[in-house]
Amino acid sequence: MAKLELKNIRKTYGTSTTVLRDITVDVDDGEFLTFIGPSGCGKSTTLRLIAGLDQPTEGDVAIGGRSINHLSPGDRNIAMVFQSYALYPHMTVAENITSSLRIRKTPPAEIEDRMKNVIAKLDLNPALLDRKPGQLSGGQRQRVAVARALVRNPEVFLLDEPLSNLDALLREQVRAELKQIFKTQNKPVVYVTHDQVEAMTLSTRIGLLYEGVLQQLDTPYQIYNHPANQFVASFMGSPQMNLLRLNCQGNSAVLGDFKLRLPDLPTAPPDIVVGIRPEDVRLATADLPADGTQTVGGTVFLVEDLGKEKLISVRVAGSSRHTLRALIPAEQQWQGETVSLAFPFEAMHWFDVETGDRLH
Amino acid sequence: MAIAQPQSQPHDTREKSTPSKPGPSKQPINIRAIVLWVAVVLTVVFCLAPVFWQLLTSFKTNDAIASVPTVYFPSPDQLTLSHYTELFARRPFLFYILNSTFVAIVSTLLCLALGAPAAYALARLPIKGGGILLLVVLFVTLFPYVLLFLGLLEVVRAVGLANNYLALIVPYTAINLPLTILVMRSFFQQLPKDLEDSAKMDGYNTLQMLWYVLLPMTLPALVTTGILAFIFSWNEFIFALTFITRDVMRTIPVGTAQLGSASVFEIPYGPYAAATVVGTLPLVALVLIFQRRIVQGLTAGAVKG
Repeated sequence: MAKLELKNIRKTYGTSTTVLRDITVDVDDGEFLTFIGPSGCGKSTTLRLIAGLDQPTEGDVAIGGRSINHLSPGDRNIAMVFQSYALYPHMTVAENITSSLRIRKTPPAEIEDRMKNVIAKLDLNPALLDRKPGQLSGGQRQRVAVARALVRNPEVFLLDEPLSNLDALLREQVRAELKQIFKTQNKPVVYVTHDQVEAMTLSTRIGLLYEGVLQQLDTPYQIYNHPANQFVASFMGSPQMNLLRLNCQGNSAVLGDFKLRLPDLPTAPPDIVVGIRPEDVRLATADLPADGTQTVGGTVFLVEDLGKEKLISVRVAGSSRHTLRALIPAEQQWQGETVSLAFPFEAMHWFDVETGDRLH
Repeated sequence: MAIAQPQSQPHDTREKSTPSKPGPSKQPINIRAIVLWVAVVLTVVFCLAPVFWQLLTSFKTNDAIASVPTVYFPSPDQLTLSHYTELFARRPFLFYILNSTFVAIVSTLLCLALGAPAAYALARLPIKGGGILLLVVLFVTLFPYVLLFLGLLEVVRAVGLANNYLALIVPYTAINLPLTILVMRSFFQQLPKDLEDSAKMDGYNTLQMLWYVLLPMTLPALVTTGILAFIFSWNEFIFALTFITRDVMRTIPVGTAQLGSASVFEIPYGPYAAATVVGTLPLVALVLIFQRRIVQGLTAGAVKG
């Protein structure tokens, strides 16, 4: 059992720049935690703090209950896959994979054994072992970088955007492989990416970072369906969620000529933000149940054909500044420029205007 | 010329009427190739002519050297090895070579051993005032070193280093250090930082990291700067002339220059040429041995590239 714990981690540079504020996270064996966020949010810094390449200003990093703050990166028994792969250019693939074992004076027979194991697991062509990294393709280098981490059999795996240098097709394939490989390892895995598809597909939990603050730490399902605040709602999901700031009147929010029913709130605020994912919005047709469905009418001013679906942008009737985007089946047609859109009550996410926090 | 030929050439091929060659489209390429080769030959001749002249002179007899008109293609009886044998028989030229070799190698190694860590520090560590330090280093490289020699002469005299190899080794190292630091620093800077992080994660300590990871990758830069430092030390004249007066301790440039001092009536062209050739050969050998290292881009493939 080697649970990885971050306790109240703070990281500042100089006196003015705060990169991380009070991050607390546990990662259990077999758990795949992904940190995601826009660039500069502190996700890579978090990884470097766990690795020991940087020191936290405050707080503790612990593995299996023991603080490892004082340990150097090499003594932490943590393996890391770098975005650039960071293979040693002057060593062969075999030397690259085994360098961490050789420096620790592992018996040669065991090194040989473990390397064979790993290259079999990764389906790495043994003919490549004598090549230098410069003679490998991008995908092969990436595999060697993963092999170098696996061969150590560490207590924790760290991966820093390991797929970002691969082309789109390969990325999808390697993503699936990574998921399978790390599932069998049964160790805490911490993954950093800015790609939400990677985060959603790979992780058991996602930590969304923004400006050094952990916005939400939850399963991919919860992050997507119950975003904790407006930032999470807008960051996850593509096309982006519709976010509209509305006035409230009594029990409902006013959207142009239409009224959206508010959820049960302790006090009705004067203003509120509603979030509706484009994929939850459909064209209103006769067979839709009137019950539990909200309809909004408007004028279509932009149609983007995505092949599988159409993304239509609609200016809401009776409002000059509110637009809704809807993702509808590609073959669906409508008459004229005005359409009626429908979405279920449950599809509406409500956020506080000031704090951005989820309201229900 | 370049315009005239493409017009005339297709004409020629048509007259010969050999349909097997697709002629015209190839012509401009040929002309470019010819111009290129002429340029190459001219450049080579321009650069190497003096070298060949020295080489030729060193093998010609004194009569052939002095004869008018100039002998460009000496007959067998105009050739001799006597200039070379004289060099070693009448002069301690072997000592000159050994002295030069010793001084140049030691000062080069010292220069690399001191310069590389300094460059690494300037490139990677957050040093306060690092920029100013760098400016100072740059300023030193701009300073004409010959102006130092009077001052250094006093120092050498005061410390009692005259006729001591250290009197050459220390200044040579110092003069070469700034350039070494500048070159190595820019080299260290372009090394991906991930590699060092990766080495740390793998469990290398700082010394192991330097030895197993960084030095192998910096080898091209080390060799390049090392050769530059070596050439400077090998060729340096003023310090070597002033600080060393014992004949057996002289370096090649000084020894060569003083070949003529035996006689005022005659300039010993042959021995001069022979000494120049002998003095140059080690440098040529050095560059040839290491050129693979210089050219090789060892960092290729370290990161995604």
